[in-house]
Amino acid sequence: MTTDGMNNAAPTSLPASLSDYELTQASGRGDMKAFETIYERHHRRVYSLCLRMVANATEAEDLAQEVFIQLFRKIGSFRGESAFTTWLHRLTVNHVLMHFRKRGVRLEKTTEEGEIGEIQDYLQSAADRPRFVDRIALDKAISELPPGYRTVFVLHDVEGFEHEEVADMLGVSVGTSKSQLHKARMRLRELLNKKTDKKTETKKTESKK
Amino acid sequence: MECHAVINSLSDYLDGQNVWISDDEAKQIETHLTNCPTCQNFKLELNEIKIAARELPLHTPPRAMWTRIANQIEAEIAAENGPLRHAQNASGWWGWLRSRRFTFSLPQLAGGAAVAVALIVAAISGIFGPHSGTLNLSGVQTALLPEEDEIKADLERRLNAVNARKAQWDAQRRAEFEQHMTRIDESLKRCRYMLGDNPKDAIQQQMVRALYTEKRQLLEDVERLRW
Repeated sequence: MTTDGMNNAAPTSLPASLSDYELTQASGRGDMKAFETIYERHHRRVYSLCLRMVANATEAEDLAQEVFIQLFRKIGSFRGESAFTTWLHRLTVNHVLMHFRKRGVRLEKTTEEGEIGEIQDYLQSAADRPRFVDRIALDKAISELPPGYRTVFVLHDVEGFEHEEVADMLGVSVGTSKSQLHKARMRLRELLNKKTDKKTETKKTESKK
Repeated sequence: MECHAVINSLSDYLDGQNVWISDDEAKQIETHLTNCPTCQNFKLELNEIKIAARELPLHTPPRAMWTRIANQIEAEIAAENGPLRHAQNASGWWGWLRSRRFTFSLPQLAGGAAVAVALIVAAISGIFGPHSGTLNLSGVQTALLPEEDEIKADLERRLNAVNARKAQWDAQRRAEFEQHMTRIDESLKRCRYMLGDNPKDAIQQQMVRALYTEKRQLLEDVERLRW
């Protein structure tokens, strides 16, 4: 691929109806406009996935940028055997996991003390709980999870990977993946309830005034 | 079944009753849930979290991200296929150009002539206009890198030498050269703009340096080949 080729191949505009596969083929030939269209279609999802996994905006931006550069290098190898979105998400997840490994984040051993003991506390005070999970609050709560829980939760519940796939990606057993997910949901529930309790308290205080 | 056991099995129960737990266990959990509002409430909350997780809002990265990606890709491609690599071959860039067979149709020749006229006009206006040099350093005003003034002076010297010979080139060679220079200058302009916004951005600093290096290599090749 040459810079000439890149520019020559770039059309002035691309029909919006072009499929992801057609765009990957054009990008593989160096068509930067096609690659930009792929970016436009998928950058928010890739960035959101990175952000949810690392819980840090600067790091997420760097990772998402690296993912797209890597995507450009590898795009010619996409054969259309799976959905492009699946392929791209897998590429993103692998890149973030590689980042974790380089940074020395231990996913499988990251736990918090007292997690199961909290069930008892919950059982004693579960009568008055919210019926609606605020998505923004949930997003924030995910960022407060320990890395191990967060990764499994994002992969399974947010991105929709199966436990077998999560276990394969993280190099852990299916049992570990299931257990981490359950603990993640429990922790999220607790975090969300704390937030709701705080809101209720604030409202009560304000109404007293 | 005890509350603890039910709660510990709730995720498996929610994720696939027939996959992770037996029918018998599922029935026991259901019986317990019917009679225990606390566990039932727990189940509803975990289920709400599970459903909400699939509908989370997407985040938008800064707009500059695409510019950085595009710049890096262009720089990588240029580094892979740049003129220096051609020049390293025995025949060099000139040899590469000579090895190409140029055949032109009448419209192409007409187009070439138009480009040549445009270049002559641009050169004349360059000579008599406010910017007497033809160096385009992408609107460089203030140095964004500590060594930028030095780099600019070096590039200007090289470009002046090339400009002095450019009139002798044929239209094709001139167009090729201009095309490379314009591409580098445009990237440089974008990167400098980004760097101006955030002068401490190490990636942009690297990009700007890489583009200056690329520009110098192009001019070096032209000088070395005595075009």
